[in-house]
Amino acid sequence: MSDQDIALAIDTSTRYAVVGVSRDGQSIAELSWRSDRNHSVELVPAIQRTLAQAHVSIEDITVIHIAIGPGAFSALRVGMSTAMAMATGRDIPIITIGTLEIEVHPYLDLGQDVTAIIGAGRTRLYIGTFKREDSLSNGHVYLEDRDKFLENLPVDSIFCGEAVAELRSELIGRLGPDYKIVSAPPPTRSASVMAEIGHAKLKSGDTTDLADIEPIYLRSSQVASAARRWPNTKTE
Amino acid sequence: MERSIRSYSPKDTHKIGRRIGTKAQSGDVLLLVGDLGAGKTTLTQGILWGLGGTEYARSPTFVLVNEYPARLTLYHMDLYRLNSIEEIEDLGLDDYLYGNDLCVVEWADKAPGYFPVNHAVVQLEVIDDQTRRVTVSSETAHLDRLVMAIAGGADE
Repeated sequence: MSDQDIALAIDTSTRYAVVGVSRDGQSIAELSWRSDRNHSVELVPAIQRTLAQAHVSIEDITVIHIAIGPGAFSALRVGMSTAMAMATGRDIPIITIGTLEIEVHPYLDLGQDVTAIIGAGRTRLYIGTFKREDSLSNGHVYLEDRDKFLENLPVDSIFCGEAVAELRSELIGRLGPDYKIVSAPPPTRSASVMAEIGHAKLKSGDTTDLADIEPIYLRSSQVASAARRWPNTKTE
Repeated sequence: MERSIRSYSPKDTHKIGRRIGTKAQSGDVLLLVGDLGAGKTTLTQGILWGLGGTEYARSPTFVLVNEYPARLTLYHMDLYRLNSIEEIEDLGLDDYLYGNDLCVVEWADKAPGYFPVNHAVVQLEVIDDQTRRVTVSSETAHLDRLVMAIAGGADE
């Protein structure tokens, strides 16, 4: 086996999907597109096109990088099941990467906390706050209603992520002139970032056993307390 | 806001459903409460036609979720056979409940607190063989239009 790792990255966390091919942590080709709800139809052709663009055949892939959420329920599972099928079929390792980690990674070395925001449908947001002194895996990831989040914004933080463009004016209104908001409309996640995170994880032996791979599913605090009250039999 | 109206036949219930369907907007969630045979599926059928759909809604008890094309896609769900919040979460209903279409959920009272705070409840109470009391309520002003929709008398 060559000592190079050639990775295929898949991120179907949200309506924007990303596929990339990289060698030793450096991107060769990537494709990102707005898939909306069509991931199950569009993902595999996108993988084929990206492999062709990278002049890499599927047999050359030595590792798979997969984004595990939080994100849209069905879309996320399309990418994850595809990644797991390929890893199983080719008997290659799989590396899981949190979707909010991909969002914050480019901004972690700026000496400040970073908060990433992704839409979770209607008025809900997936939020990840990453402390500047902490490692990437120690971020606090949670689900919050948009108004509640805006009322109680993390202080002294950089804001980034797929949803910042649409929340920009509200964030500026609340943060005042000292705001630090990444100015990037979606798609905000790049396969080159996954390549870098994934390559570092592979080198440190941080692969995940196929049986242990699960999407990150977040409950709202409201649902968490509803779950504790189950079962609630119907009464008139 | 809350309003009640009497339905004297399945035809009336269907008509009430049509009025609700006409007023439904993107992202609305309707929770249906009522015993077996109270008319939940008939009401849903009416909602679908009010949305401009042309199919016949069937009970989703065994398939858990039915999907019907219309002005807004109607997702008709039934939690009757589910036993835990985890089972509901594993179905991925969040994509629908927090999406941009219309969700109508039967037996939602099995999972209080699971649904978006912005929902309307439609209760169907059996008064006698034919008669039902239909009550629509909501705690959010945004959905008052659905509560208002049933006004006007079932025999209108």
